[in-house]
Amino acid sequence: MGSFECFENAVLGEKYYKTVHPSGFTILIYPKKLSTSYVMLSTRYGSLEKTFRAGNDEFCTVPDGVAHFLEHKLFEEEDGSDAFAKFAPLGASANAFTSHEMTSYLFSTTDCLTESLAVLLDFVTHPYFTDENVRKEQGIIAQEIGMCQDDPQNRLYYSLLEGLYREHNIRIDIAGTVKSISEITPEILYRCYRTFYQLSNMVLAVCGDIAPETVLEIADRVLPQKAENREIECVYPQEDSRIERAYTELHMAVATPMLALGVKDLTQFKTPGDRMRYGVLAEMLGKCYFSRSAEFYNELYDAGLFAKTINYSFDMLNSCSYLMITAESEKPNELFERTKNLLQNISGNLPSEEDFLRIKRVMYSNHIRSFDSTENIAFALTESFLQGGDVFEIGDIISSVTYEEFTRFACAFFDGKEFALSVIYPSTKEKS
Amino acid sequence: MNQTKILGEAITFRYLPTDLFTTDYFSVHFILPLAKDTVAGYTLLSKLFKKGCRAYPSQGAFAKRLEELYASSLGISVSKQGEQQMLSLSIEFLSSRFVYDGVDVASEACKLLSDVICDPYLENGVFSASFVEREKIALKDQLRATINDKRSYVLKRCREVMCEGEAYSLALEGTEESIDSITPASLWALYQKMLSEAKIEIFYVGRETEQVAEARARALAERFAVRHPQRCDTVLVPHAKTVKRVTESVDAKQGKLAMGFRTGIEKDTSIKDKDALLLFNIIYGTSPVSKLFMNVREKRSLCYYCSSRNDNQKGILFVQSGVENDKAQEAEEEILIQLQEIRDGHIDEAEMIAAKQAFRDMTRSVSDSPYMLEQWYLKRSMLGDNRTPQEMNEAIEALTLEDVSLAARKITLDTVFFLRGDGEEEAENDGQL
Repeated sequence: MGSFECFENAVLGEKYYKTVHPSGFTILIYPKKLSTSYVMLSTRYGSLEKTFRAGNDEFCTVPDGVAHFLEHKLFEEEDGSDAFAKFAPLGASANAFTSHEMTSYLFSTTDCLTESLAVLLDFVTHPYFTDENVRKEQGIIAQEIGMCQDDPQNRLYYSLLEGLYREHNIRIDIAGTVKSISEITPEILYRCYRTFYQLSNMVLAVCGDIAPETVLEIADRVLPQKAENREIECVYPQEDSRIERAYTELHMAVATPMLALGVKDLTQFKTPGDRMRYGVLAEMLGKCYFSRSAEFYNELYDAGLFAKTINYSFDMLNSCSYLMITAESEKPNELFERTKNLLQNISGNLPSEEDFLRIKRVMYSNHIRSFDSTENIAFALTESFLQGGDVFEIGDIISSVTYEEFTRFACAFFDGKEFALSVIYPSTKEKS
Repeated sequence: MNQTKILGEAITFRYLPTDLFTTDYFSVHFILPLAKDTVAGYTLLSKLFKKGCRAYPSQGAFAKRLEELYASSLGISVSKQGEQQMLSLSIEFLSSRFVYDGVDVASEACKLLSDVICDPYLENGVFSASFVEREKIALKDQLRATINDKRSYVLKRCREVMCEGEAYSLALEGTEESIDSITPASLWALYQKMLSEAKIEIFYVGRETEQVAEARARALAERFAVRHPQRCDTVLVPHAKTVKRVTESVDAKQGKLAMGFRTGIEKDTSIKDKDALLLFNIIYGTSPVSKLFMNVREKRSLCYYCSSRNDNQKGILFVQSGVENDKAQEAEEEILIQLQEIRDGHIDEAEMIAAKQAFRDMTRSVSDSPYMLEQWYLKRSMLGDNRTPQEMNEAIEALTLEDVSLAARKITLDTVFFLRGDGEEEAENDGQL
């Protein structure tokens, strides 16, 4: 039996295990006595990986949307059946998604965890692409792309990223375009698969009522015993701090105008711990101004500057990050100006220490509570592993952040960073 | 363990210990008769509760208080259970062992919930006129918006036609007129009525000891000083007489069909017969391989979706389907053919296994959150059935094909409601891509 590295958390009284299978595959197991188990298998491969090579191959550049296309196609089995259908009789429900930096296959179940796990490992390691099944998928994904084009949230998101970034692949829609996916062939899919679906590039996170040894036994049964270890090299476009454009305006069928404010951040980090800490601070920053309890939020609310609510997020990728604030508003420009004005003069608008301590409790509580869900745990394990960190560290980071550190961070954060705004206005129906 | 305690007149308390979670959960449910004159008012009250209480009267102050208590989350909802209206308030908070700076989160959170109910923000001795006005507008908006969601609109209309004269037909939003007639003073009177007349159920789920949990529940129960609890029974109509048919038009591309059935439930219907109806419903219209999905949709392509839902408290079952206008007749026929199939005992092994598996999955996941645990016992209590998920699962496992087909034979069609699509709006599709 392989050896496990064990990570413990005294506050929660819980632990998880990590091991690397002889195939090069990393396995994380978080035993949890809940009825619903959650399993997530991920590869470090998303829409950002466009130009790459493995081992001694020549570099190649693939069409936009290949990672997502590959994710769809992997469910198809050699006998023409659909891997989804294999989960149903086991009482498991499966799903998959592709993001900028990873592709994940997952399922949840209250029964038959080991059988479902074997199905997952098996289908992800057996690609089957033909001219015919690729053609069929092109039609299906073209429809999906069409649907996304009609979705205002989606359009708002990409128009903001296109405004913030000049060269970065984050500008590219994860699903690609109807044209780009029409260029996809079985050869391209196999090439991407052989590069990025090497087991050494993948990680499995299992959270449920299961022993680590049982997971390893299934991996032994389904996976090869030898690692194929061809080094992956990716080439990405260079990006600097300048933005592409400060303002984008769209017109669509929406009831109330929608806006997205973005701030681009290219900070790089020395250690995974530094990176996590930065993420915690950035989230605190958002909570201090944009949660329902925040003074600024209530000022904007009383001024009628948004409908429903304001959403704040700070997304961190390996090569870039961005802060995003979205809302529905009848006065999008006024909301933008007031928000930008506040953030650019943040040193004169700092929250009190009392506010900070309250937000710290919120962050800490949310972190602790996230361990009540096997789904959250599987996601968090995967994410922190892919960033080179340990999921339990986040709690310690939250506890150790001081008011001084936070205010220093907040005052420096917007220095030299440009803002972008995207607005979707309701399309006016023309009457003849 | 798991026993119900009586804390006052029609006030019960149930303690559900578990150490699986990082939070504890405290909830109160007010169960009232569903009635035309009060339905909108009680719904409006639930919206006012969300705004805060005397000590924390503004959105910002109330949100701050919840955050100080380690991001405690307050849940307030209103629902229909048979012919009862239920106002539910709950607070979920971090268990004491995780709190790092000595705040007594548990006591304070339970106190806050209690204040939201018993110590509301008032102006001139009644609810704030501006708060009431704002929520009346919001409730009217919500009522008008019911047409936007065609699926629930069709169900609502089918229920209205089928249960005309029965309280079951009432919408939680009431009617525009009933909302208009609410004043701060009338709402204040209704609030007193609720505190006095409702049947009250209190729950505590979590790591706290029974003594402490019960003390918190008692502290709350003692604040309900005047008690004149009212009975609220659901009127049962076991069989349909004639089939009612109503068709309406709407500016949409796709038509929508809703069929209402009476399921034969009477006062003395046994638990086993009710269980058989539950299993029938899964086989007929909710499992991934249900009769309706596999035949009406997959095999005959007569609709975009087709499923059923069952209410054992009222003895009613609805089938809903999204269909092309010219296929509605055929879809209706096929829906009835599939019912007949079950009546005739034509259920294969795979269908039975999938249905029992679906039920097992549901019962197993009950213990995965404090909320689901509480909902299980609350629901059971409303049905006068105190089984644990395991016990109920065993009962369902033991049911036979004959039990299910017997249940199906007691079902009668009452109402067919069709919303004809007369527009160009996009069709809705449930299928996977």
